[in-house]
Amino acid sequence: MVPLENYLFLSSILFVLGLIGVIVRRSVIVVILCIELMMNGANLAFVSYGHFLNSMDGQLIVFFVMAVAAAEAAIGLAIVVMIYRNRESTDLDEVNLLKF
Amino acid sequence: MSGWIASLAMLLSFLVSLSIFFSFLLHSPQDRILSIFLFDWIPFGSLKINVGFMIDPVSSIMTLIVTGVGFMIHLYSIAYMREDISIVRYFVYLNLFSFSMLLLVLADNFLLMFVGWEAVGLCSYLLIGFWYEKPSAIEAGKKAFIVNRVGDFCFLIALFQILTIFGTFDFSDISRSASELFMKDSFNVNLLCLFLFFGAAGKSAQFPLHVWLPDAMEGPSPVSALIHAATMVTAGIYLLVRNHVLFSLAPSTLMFIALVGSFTLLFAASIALVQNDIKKVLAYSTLSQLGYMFLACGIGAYATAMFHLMTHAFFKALLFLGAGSVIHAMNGEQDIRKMGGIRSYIPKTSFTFIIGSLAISGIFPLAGFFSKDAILFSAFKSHSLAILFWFAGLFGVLMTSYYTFRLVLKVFYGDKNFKENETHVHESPPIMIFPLFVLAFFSIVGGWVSIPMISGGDVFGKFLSSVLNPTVSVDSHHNLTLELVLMFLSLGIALLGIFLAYQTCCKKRQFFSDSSVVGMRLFSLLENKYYIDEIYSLILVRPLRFIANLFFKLFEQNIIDASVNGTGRLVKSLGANLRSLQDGYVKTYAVSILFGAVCIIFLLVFNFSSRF
Amino acid sequence: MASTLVFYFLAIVTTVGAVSVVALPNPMYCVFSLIVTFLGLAGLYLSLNAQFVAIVQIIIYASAIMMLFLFVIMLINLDKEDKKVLRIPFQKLLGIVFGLFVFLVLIIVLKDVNISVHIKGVFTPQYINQIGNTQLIGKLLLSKYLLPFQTMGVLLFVGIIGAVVLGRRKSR
Repeated sequence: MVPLENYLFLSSILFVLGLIGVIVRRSVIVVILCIELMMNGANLAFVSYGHFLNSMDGQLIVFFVMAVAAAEAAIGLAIVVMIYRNRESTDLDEVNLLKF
Repeated sequence: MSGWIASLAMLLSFLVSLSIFFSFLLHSPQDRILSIFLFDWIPFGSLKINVGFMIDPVSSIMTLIVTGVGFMIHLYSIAYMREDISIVRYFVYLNLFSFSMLLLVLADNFLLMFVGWEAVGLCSYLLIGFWYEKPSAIEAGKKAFIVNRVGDFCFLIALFQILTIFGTFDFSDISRSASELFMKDSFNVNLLCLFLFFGAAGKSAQFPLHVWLPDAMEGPSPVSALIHAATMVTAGIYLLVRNHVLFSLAPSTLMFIALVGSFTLLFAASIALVQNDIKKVLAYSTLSQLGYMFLACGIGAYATAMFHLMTHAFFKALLFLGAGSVIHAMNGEQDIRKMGGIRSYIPKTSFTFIIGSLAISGIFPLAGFFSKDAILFSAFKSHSLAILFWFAGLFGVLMTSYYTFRLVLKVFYGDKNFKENETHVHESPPIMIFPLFVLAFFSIVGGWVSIPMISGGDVFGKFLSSVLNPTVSVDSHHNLTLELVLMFLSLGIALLGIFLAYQTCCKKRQFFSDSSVVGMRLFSLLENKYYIDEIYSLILVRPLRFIANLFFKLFEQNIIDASVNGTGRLVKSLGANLRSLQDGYVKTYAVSILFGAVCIIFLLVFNFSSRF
Repeated sequence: MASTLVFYFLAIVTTVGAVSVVALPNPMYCVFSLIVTFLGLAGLYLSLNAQFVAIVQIIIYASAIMMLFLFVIMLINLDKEDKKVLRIPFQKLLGIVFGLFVFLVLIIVLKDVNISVHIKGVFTPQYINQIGNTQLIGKLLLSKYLLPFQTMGVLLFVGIIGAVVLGRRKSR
């Protein structure tokens, strides 16, 4: 029987890797990918807690999280496409029109 | 218009003072005091300082002088300042000054008197620098105020001492308890009286705080008459007389006062011998006469000092107003070398001026004769060292008559040193002549209230006797003989002075030949006022300026300005740096949000976890 | 024993995939790495007796969403990231440090949790297997979690419309 801490450890690793990726990477697509990674880390934590607490809530919440992630990925990518159409580059460092 | 309102106010004040004076005359000497309590001013624990007035014969005389002579000067000013654009401001200041002087004189405690003291200093500054477009006037005003300040500082120290020793500022309380709290001629009482005297010396321009008075002639002539002849400069004398109980417990200080008075007397008179500006001669004359008054106080003859104060107010105001009339007639010229022989043009002015000059020289039977003679007589018989004082006073009489009549002869008689067709010499209007005649009248009869020869002739002293013990007494007869001898002596000396003036000015005889080295040195020493101003400039003014400059460069610029400007720069740079956070890059914002979210979560975890 | 081995194997696969997502410069490779990560996660879900979630993970995440990403990458002709000057100096280092810090805190918090105290639920694995995982999820979705379920529908609907609107070319 694998103890809970192992799953949580893994979940933390995934989450932190996603966090690092968001901060470090410069391409928009990859940043969105890393956000997905973070969400999956959280999903793992949900499911493992649900399993160990003899509850179905964990799995159900993951179900909803996935739906939300799908919608958000779709919209995010649509925006990326628009940005690309406008300026031929998706480098985040060049998107700076929100300046003061 | 404003002049008439101001003069009316002065007239009303004079009538009130007159009524108080007459009510005093009707009462017996013990009842001659009027105390009016107005309100509690500073109640501070056991110390109670009130605003209240006290009128006794001494302050009654003072109020009469202030309001009476002031009224004359107000009338005079209506015409004198007619063409001035700031005439309204002038009368405002004049009335303010009268108010302050009355406050000083009527106060029943030291602190209230100090308020009036400072206020007259302020008004003096305002009036000296009245024509503020003239830089010399501004400088003179500043000089007056600053030198006054030195005296006021000593006065303040005296006030602190009084508070510590007596616990009250009230004059009557202090006079009553003074003899209990002080041993006669102890160090404490001498110190206190010394500081009070320094305060008086600042206001009444005794050496070495005399330097402001000649420069104060930058103000209009009526101002010089009111402030620097009749009233403000006499505030110092009033202070001494008011506290004569204290001073009588400090004989050493009194001796010092007499010394300073006699020194100033001779010092100022010697400078007046060679001055060429009408008003400067009169200014130094005022200094000299004040020296007489301080000498009188120093030898304990307070009533005599008051007497001389009164007569001096009459003839000095007359002389100043007359000088103003002359200047007005000569269209602004003040140098007596450019005048001469104008008696035929302005007969009324010259007549009153000559009366004033006779009075100040001490010619019988005018006022100055009696008052000056009283001082000389008191000096003669006061104590062993008195001969010196008497001799100084006598020499002063000689110089006084000399310089006064030098002035008279040079201005009104002799050759005309001006071009007749260029300067249209005209007599002053009646409203200026009227005060001259009134003051001339009082210069003649003012001395008759204290005639020592007639028994019961010392009406003045008797009037003041509830407050002061008169020193001009007619009790013993051999004193009377002595007094007559001294009187004739001083009269003779005065006439000698007039004669000498006549010789040098009209007959062109000289005491020192032109090539005499001693003569030239002496002459330039006198003419440059013994270089006192230059000495002060060297010792005091330049070092102060240097220190001020040093502090400016060191502190003001480097520290204060730097910190103030630095604060501004700090805010600016802080803003600039913070602005760079809003760079527009989405990544930065995202990272900031992430960071903030993580922090919040941490906080929640730490608060709710039992582990930490 | 076997479950432990399985767990560690899946864990390594997942971790390697995640690291590759963050580290690889080519976005295409990142997508592929993420697919590998998802597959590992699906296995982990299986080991946690969450069969439905595992299958949905593969169907939705690993294929549908990743295909979306691939399409977009191809659409915009993404190249490798150029080595340009970083705006914030030491951006990578700062990011890694911050990440490590967060990791540390998470570990400290999540370790030594005494889970046995809190077990209150009724759905033991045996019970779940008795009814069937999917059936149970279906039952719960339509009873206890009805409102979130319907809201999800609306959300997806809005997402579709939004994506269409945003992705449309401007009409001439």
